[in-house]
Amino acid sequence: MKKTILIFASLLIGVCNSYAQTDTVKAIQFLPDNEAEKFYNSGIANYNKKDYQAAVADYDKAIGLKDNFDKAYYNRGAAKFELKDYKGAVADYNKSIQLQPNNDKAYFSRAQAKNAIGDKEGAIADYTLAIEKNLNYSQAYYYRASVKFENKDYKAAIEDYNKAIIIKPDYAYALNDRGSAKRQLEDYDGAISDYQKAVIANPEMAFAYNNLGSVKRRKGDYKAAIEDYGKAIKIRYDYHIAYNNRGAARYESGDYKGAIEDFDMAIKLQPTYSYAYNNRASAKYKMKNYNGAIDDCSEAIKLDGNYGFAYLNRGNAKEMLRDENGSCSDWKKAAELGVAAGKGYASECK
Amino acid sequence: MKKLIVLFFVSIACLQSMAQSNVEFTKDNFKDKKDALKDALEEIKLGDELYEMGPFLYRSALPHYLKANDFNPNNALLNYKIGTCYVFVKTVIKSKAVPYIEKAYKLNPTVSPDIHYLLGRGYHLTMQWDKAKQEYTMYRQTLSSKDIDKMKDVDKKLNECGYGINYMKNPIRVFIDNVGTTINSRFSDYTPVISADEDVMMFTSRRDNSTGAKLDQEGEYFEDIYISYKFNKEWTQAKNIGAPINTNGHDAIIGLSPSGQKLFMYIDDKGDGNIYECDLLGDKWSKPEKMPKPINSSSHESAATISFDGKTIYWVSDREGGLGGKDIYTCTKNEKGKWGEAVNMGAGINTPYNEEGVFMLPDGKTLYFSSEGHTSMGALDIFSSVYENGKWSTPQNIGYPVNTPDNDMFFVMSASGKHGYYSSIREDGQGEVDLYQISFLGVEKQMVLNTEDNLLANQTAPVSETNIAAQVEVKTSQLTLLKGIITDALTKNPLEALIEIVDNEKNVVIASFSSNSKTGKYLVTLPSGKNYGIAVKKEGYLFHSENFDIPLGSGYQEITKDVELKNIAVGSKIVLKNIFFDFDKATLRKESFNELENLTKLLNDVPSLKIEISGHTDGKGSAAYNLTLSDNRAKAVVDYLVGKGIAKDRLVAKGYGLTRPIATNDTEEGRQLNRRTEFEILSK
Repeated sequence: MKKTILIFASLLIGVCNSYAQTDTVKAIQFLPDNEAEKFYNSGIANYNKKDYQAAVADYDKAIGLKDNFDKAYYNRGAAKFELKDYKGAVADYNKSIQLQPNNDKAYFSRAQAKNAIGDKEGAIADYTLAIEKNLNYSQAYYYRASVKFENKDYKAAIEDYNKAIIIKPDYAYALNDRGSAKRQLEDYDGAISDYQKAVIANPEMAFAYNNLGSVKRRKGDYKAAIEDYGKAIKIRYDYHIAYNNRGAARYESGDYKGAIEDFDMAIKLQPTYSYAYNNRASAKYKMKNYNGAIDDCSEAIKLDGNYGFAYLNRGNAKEMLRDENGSCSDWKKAAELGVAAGKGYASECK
Repeated sequence: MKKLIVLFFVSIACLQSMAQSNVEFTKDNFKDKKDALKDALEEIKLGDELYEMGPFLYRSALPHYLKANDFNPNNALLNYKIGTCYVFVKTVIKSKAVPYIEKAYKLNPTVSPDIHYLLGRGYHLTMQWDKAKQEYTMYRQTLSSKDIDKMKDVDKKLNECGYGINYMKNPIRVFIDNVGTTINSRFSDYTPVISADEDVMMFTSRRDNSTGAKLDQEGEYFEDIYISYKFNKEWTQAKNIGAPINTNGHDAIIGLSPSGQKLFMYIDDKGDGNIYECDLLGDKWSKPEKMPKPINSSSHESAATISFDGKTIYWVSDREGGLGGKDIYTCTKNEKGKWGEAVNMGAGINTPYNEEGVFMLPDGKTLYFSSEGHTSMGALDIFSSVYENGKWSTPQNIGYPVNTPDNDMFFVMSASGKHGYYSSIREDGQGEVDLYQISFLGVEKQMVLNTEDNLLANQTAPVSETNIAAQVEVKTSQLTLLKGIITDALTKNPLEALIEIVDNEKNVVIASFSSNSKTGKYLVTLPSGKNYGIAVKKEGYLFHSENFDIPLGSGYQEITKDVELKNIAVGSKIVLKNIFFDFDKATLRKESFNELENLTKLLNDVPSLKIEISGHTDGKGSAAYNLTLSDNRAKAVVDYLVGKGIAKDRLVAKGYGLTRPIATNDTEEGRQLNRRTEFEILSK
C-alpha cells in the first residue's frame, strides 16, 4: 500500500509538476470503538480518491471526536491544500505542529502552503525548521532553493541545491534547477553540466533538454541548441515552448525558413501563443515578407494588447513598406508600453 | 511532335556552335549581300573616324557600329569596339557592355591585348566581383614591368573590387526613388541641388527644349538649368529658368545656398571652366557673375558649395599645386566681404585621383564629396567627412547601393539628413541619366524575439526572455532650420528685411541674410551648439528679435516663425528677446549687448524717438519683490542706453512686475515668455 501511494505521488509530481509534495500519514489500525480513527481512515481513503471535500469532512468529524488528534489536523491541512484553501491549511498545520512539534513533514507542508499564499519569508523559515528536524531532508533544501530562486537570490539557491544533491545525487529536479540558477548567473558552462546530469538522472524530462538548448543558444551554439530542442520535442510532441525556442535558434542562425516552420508548429499547438506570432513576424521580416510580418504582429497584439515588442516589430515592418505614419504610431505605442527602442525609433518621426 | 522539338533544339545547338567563329566583313563571307556589306563597311568607317578621336566621341560612334553589327553580329573587333563604347559612354546602363565584350573574346581571344582588362571593366561595372578580379589578374599577367601606369591602374581596380565586395555585404538601408516625370526627362538630367528644406530643386538637363535647341559635338543637347518646387508633397513640372542664366551654350548648376537665394553655376568659358554666382532678387535671377580670384583661376573649376553663413566656400579645381587630378579647395570671406586665400583641403580629403561634386551640409561641419581615391569601389564614389576637434575626419564611403562601381557624384543632402539627391542611371529611369531621391533609414532596426523556458522543474509557469540587441542610435543632422515669412504687421505685405544671426556668447554677427522681396520668405540654418540671437531689421520698422538656445548635440528640428515687422509709430511695442539678466538680479549679461546695440542704433537713427523700457517678471514670488526686480531691470537697460549717449529725457524705465503676463504662469515655457524686457514708442 505504501509503495503504491508513493508511486502515485511521484507520478503526480512528474506529470503535473504539481506544487504539493504532501505525504499523507498512513492509515491507523484501530479498535471498533475508536470512532475518531474510523473517520480519520475514511478521510485518507477519500484523499486518495481525490475527493478532498469528503476527506475534509471526515477529518472534521475525527477532530470533533478527538481534538488533540495531531495527524488528523495534519491530513486535513493536506486536503485543504489540495482544495487551494491555503490559509485553512496553514491553520491546520499550526495546530498539528503545536500538538507534535517534532514532525518535520508538518513544517515542510506548512512552508508549501505559506509559499502558495505568497508568504516567501514564512516559507523559508518553515523549510529551515523542517531541515532542523531532519538534516537529510533533501526536498526541504530543494524547495527552499526554489523560493530563493524566485527571489532572484541565485547564489543562495545554488547552496541549497548543492545540499539537496549531496543527499540525493540523482535528484533530477534539483539538478535541472541548479542549472537554471547558474544560467541566471551567466555561468553557462556550469548550467550545461547540470542540465546534462539532470537528463541522465531522468531522461524523460523534456524541459531539461529545452533548458539545455536555451543555454547553448545563449552561447551562440545554435546547431547544438537546435538538437537539444529536438530532443525535448521528441519526448513531448506538444511542447510548444520548445518549438518556439527552436524557431528562435534557427532564426538566430539565419535559417528563417526553418524558423517559420517551427513558429508555425508552436502556433498550431498553442493557438493563443502570442510570442510565436511575434517571432514568426520577425522571420518573415528577414525574408522581406513585410505584409506577412505585419499580419503576425497584429495577431500577437490581438492576443495581448500590451505586447510592446509586437508593436515595435510591426513598426519596423511598416517602415519597410514605407508606411511612415503607421510605423511611427506603432513605435510610439511600443514606447508607451515601456519598450526603450520604440522611443529611439519614434524620435525620427515628425 | 516530340521528335520535331528535339530536332529543332539540335539545329539551334549547331547554329550556336557555328556562331562561335569570327566572321570578317569580306565579300567571300557575304557573297549574296554585296550592297548590304558595303553599307555595313561604310558604317564601320564612320564609326571608326569618331572612335579614333577618343572616348568623348564614343557615344556618337556607337550607332554606326550597332548598325554594322546588325548586319554581321559575329565580328570580334566590332564587338570589342561596341563593348568599349558602352563601358565609356556615361549615359548608358553598363550591363549592355558585357555581352559584346564576352562575345568579342569568344570569337577571338586575342582580339586586343587589353581584352582581359575590358572584360574586367565590364564585370566590375556590373558588380560581378569575382569574375572582374579574375580578368584583371589575367590582364596584369600580360603586363611587363615597364607598364608601371597600367600596373598601378589594374592594382587600383583590384582594390576597388575588394571594397565593393565589402560594401555589398553590408548595404546601407535606403530607398532610392526616381523623382518622377515632372522632373526627369528621357534626356540626361543631373546635378540636382536643393534648398535646405527641400522645397526647391534645381538641376541641369540636356532635354530637347534647351535654349538654342542645338546638339553639341557629343550629340546631346546643350545644358540648361531647370527648377521645380515642392507643392503638396509633389514636385511641380520642372521649368527652364530662362534668361539671363540659360544661354545657347552649356549652362549647368553646381550649387545652391541653403535658403535657395543664391546659386552657383559652371560656365565653360571656352575650356577655361569657371564658377559663376547668381542671386534671386524677388522672382528674378541676377545675371551670372563670374566669381573672383582665387576661386576662379586659369585652370578648370567645377563644383562649388557654400557654408550656412555664406562665408566659406568649397570648390573643385584642377589648378597646379594640388595633390593630383581635381582637388577640393576652400576659402573664407573676411569682414569686408573679400575672399581670402585658396586653401587646398589637404591629403585627408584630396587624393592623387580626382575629387568632384562637393556639398557642405548646413550644419557647418559635414562635407560630402566624390572621389576616385580613398576607398572607392570604382570611379567616383560619394564620401563624407566631418570637421571635429579642429580636423576633418577620415572620409567615409557612404556605401552601397548609393555608391556603385560607376561615377557617383553631385550628391546633395537635405538639412534634416534624411534625404539625399543625386543622378544615376538605373533600370527604372526615364531615360539616360535621371535624378533620384535617396531616403536614409539608418542602421537596421532590430526585430525582437520573445522566448521562454521552464527553468524551475516544480513550476508550470515558464520564465520569459526578450532577445533584443542594443538600441541603435538614430542619427539626424545636428542643426535647426528656421524659416518663415516676413511681413508688414499692418498691410501684411511681404517685406525684404535683413536677418542677422548673432552668436550671443561671443556677441558677434555670424551671418546676415535678406528675405525674398517678392515672397517675404526667409530660411536660415543654425548648427547646434550656440545661443543664437536673431534680429530682423528694416528701415522705418522696429526691429524684431528672437532667441534660440540650441545646445551642442541637439538633433534636427524645423521651426517655422513668421515675423510681422511693426512701423515706427506711437504705441508700437516689441519684446526684446535677447536681453538677459543674471538670475534674480538686475545685472545685464554680456549676451545682451548685441540686442542693446540694435536698440541704440534705432534711437540714433530716429533722434525724435521717445521710448519706455518696461520690465516684466513671471508669477513666481511676491508681487512687491517682482515689482522691484522688474523696475531695477528696466533701469539697468536705460542706464546702458544713457551710457551709450542717448539723452535721459528720451527714456522712461518702468517695472510692471507680474502684472502684465503675456502667457500662462503654469508652465516653464509660459513663465519664460513672461520674464521679458519690452519697449514701447511713446512719441516720435
